[in-house]
Amino acid sequence: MFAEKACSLIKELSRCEEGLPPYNIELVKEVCTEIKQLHEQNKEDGAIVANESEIAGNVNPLYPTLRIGSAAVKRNIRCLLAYHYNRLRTLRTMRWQFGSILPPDIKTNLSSDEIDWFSKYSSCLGKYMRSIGEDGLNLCLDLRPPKSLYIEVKCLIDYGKFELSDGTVLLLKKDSRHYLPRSECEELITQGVFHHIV
Amino acid sequence: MFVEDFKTDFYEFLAGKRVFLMVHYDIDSICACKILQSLLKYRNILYTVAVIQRLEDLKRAYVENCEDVQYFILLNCGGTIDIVEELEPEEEKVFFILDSHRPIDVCNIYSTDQVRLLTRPEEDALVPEFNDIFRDQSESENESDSDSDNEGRASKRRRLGEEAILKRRENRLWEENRNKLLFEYSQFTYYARASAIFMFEYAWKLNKEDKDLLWLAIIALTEQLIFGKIEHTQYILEMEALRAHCTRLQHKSNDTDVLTSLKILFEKDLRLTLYRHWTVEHSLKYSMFTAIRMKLWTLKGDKKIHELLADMGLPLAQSRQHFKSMDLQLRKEFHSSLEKLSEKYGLQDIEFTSFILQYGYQHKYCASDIVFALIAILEASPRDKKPEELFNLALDCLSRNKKEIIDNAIEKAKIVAKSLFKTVQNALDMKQIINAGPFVYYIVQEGCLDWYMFSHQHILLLLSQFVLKAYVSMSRNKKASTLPLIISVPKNIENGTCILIGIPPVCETSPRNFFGKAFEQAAEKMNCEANCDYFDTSYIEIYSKDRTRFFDALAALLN
Amino acid sequence: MLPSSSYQPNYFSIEDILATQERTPCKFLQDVPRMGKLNPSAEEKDLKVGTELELPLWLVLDGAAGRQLILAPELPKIYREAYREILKADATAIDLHKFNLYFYELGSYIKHFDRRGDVHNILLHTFTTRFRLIMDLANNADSDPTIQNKLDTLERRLFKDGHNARMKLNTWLLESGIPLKAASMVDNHRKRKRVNEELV
Repeated sequence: MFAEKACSLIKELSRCEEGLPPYNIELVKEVCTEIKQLHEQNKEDGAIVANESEIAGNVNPLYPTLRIGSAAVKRNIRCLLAYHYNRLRTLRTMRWQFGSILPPDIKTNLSSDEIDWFSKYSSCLGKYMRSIGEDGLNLCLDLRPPKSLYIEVKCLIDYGKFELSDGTVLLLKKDSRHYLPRSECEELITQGVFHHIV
Repeated sequence: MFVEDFKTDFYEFLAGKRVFLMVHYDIDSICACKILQSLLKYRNILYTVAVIQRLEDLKRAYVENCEDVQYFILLNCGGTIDIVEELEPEEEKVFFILDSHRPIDVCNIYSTDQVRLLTRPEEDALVPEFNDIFRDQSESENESDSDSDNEGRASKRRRLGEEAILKRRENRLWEENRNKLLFEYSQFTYYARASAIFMFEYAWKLNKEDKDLLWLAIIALTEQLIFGKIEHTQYILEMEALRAHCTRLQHKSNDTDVLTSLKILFEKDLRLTLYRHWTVEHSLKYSMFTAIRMKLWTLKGDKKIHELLADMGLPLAQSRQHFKSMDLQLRKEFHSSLEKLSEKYGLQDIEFTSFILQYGYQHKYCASDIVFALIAILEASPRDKKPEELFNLALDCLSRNKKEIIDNAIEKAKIVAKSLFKTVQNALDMKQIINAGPFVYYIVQEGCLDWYMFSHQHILLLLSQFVLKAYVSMSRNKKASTLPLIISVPKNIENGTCILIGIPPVCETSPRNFFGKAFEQAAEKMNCEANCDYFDTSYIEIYSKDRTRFFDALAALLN
Repeated sequence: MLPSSSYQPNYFSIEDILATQERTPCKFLQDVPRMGKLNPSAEEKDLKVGTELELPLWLVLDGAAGRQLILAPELPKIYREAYREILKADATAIDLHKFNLYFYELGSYIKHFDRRGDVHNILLHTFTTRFRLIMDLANNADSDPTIQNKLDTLERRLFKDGHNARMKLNTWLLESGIPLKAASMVDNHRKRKRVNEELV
């Protein structure tokens, strides 16, 4: 059946909610080959159909074949584009949620082009955020208005030393509790280092 | 030194600074910590909390953080040891200590600046005078120098011999006196006023107290009562003071209190473990108070419960139901009918005055319920949980909106109560409580059910009180009530260590404990490796193989 | 930018691609040379007129469009009379997940093959009757978690969104201050990692 492989790419994606499956370079290549073959065939058939209909003025028996062939090409292309497009979307969300450095096990699932795209996107975003206001604004943080400037947090992992913007250094150990300025914690909370205690 | 004015010397002093809280792993400390946290939050004082179980933890936490922090607050730890000697801190580090363990180390009391105690000096503590225990060696030499300068050189040489002898003699006497004073001072270990009550009063002085904080102070006080850390009279005194606060705050209630209908009620409670959350039958059976008075571990005692229930007019089926599901009438009369019969069944003093926290229309907890729940979280959780995790859970348990945590903990507390009872019953049935002359002892074997639970300080304390009282009530030996008890529980099976606890005899009304010194001396005498880095020195960790020799040494010492 | 899970089919929508992959019965109206391989049961080179096949919907849609029809689509059995009767009887009792993962998405394509509008009506009927069930589930999710296995993709998404909104409302009502949370991806990533570690 046509476009079977392309569809299995999409299935791979849909199975992996919120995460990214490894970039399936082999399958992508195979789909490309299928497209090329179909395209060649269509070109041949197309030439025949075009020639003969000019002469005979009626429909060539190859016309349905050509239509099915071209539908298959379109379908393949759609799957392939959707595969890449949706991966990039997830990747973009990851930039907002994980920050500019991705966990290594996620990074191994990316193609080199995707890594490239990620770092470009990341630097674009960084540049934009720096340009807001006088000394920049981190848009990745929680956008709800704070109830208080300081919050209590619980550390979820052994993080090691962490320096606050005023130079004080904290040792973050698993299950230790801290009371800190909210602005210093927000990023570590989104990254899952801290748990906010209410 | 003692901090004179909490507001200026502590609270205002720390404003804008970062502090490191070292909190001992017990209920009082958790309550005190929670009150302190809310105070620190008002002034936006940044803090980090670390959990401390033993001296070793204190040292490690200090070393890990000393580079970055200058101010340390120690709750219920560190008061009884010489902080400067143990931690060797740099000059500028400052330690604030609020510790209910007694006696406070004299070096901490007479420290000029580095160690600041947040407690008040106690009159009955008999702290030795500064001059009796500290003497500046160089100063005394200078004195003699200046003396001799006035006189001729020749005479000086002659008199030097005499003087030296006199001096040495004086030194020796002084030394002896010093040792005697120090021994007398540190002979007994005991608990003073709960740190959380201190903290609450400080909050009150800062006008930052509210009902939630009061409740924490109440919990801490109730904990001291339940674990027998303070005398009953002391409990009554403190309770009256808290009751006054309670009435005052009730009148001061604000809008949010009306919304959540938060109330602290002053009420009579029964010495029955968790009866509001259990069945009457179980609660009667597994509470230490009733178990000892009615000797419930015997067949006769078991019958007596049923007799009591019949006398109270409480059908057996009802008594086996959850207290909440009992008939309303029976539930209402439960308290009074039990009181009426208390004399007949030897259950005098089954009532004690306590507090109840009520908020909304479905949450109602006695102070003692919460204490049992907390202790179940801290000491009866699965072994793979780290103390920090449990500490956090206990903190959460004290927040009002975490009902599930409390309810889970109460279920766990029931298991603790059952297993305490069964262990005691077993110990009596198998005659495992052994008289060693000057004391009795009981060894919890490794294979024993729930031994892990008993290797924690507070549950072990409950067990030891239960065992000793049960032993005394069953013993035909008239002197039984004058004997102290030692219990040994395996601590670390891989290393082959066990933890010992010693408690004073039943006849003593005061919970002052002499085992700290006795353990120390016994360990010194037999030269065995012992780990006495508990802040409460009536616990000690030794190798199980040394235990027999250790008991021998103790027996010799106490004879 | 269209959300990736938009119900309105967009070119990149994964759900739409998967829905149009579903097999739909059809009958060929013309000979199609060299397309014999579409019919796995025959070994002829060409596809003869009158052949009945089940093909992916995208191919059927293409073949049934334009001036010259190559094939005539037929209704998949779940949208036929017998099944419609079941749905009419009590839509809430049905395991729609077993019918088809994309019951509504697929249905909204299929309904064009049905001139009389019965499919159209049954889709509407099914959704309106079942919507109440979903609402109820989303508001009381702890009642029975297995019941959501009976939902199709669209319903499941509604349930999830409704449930999340409900939970948010609950936390807000309970503890007026909403705590800052770890990003959902970070959270899931960690959970997955933990599961993997446990498996190892």
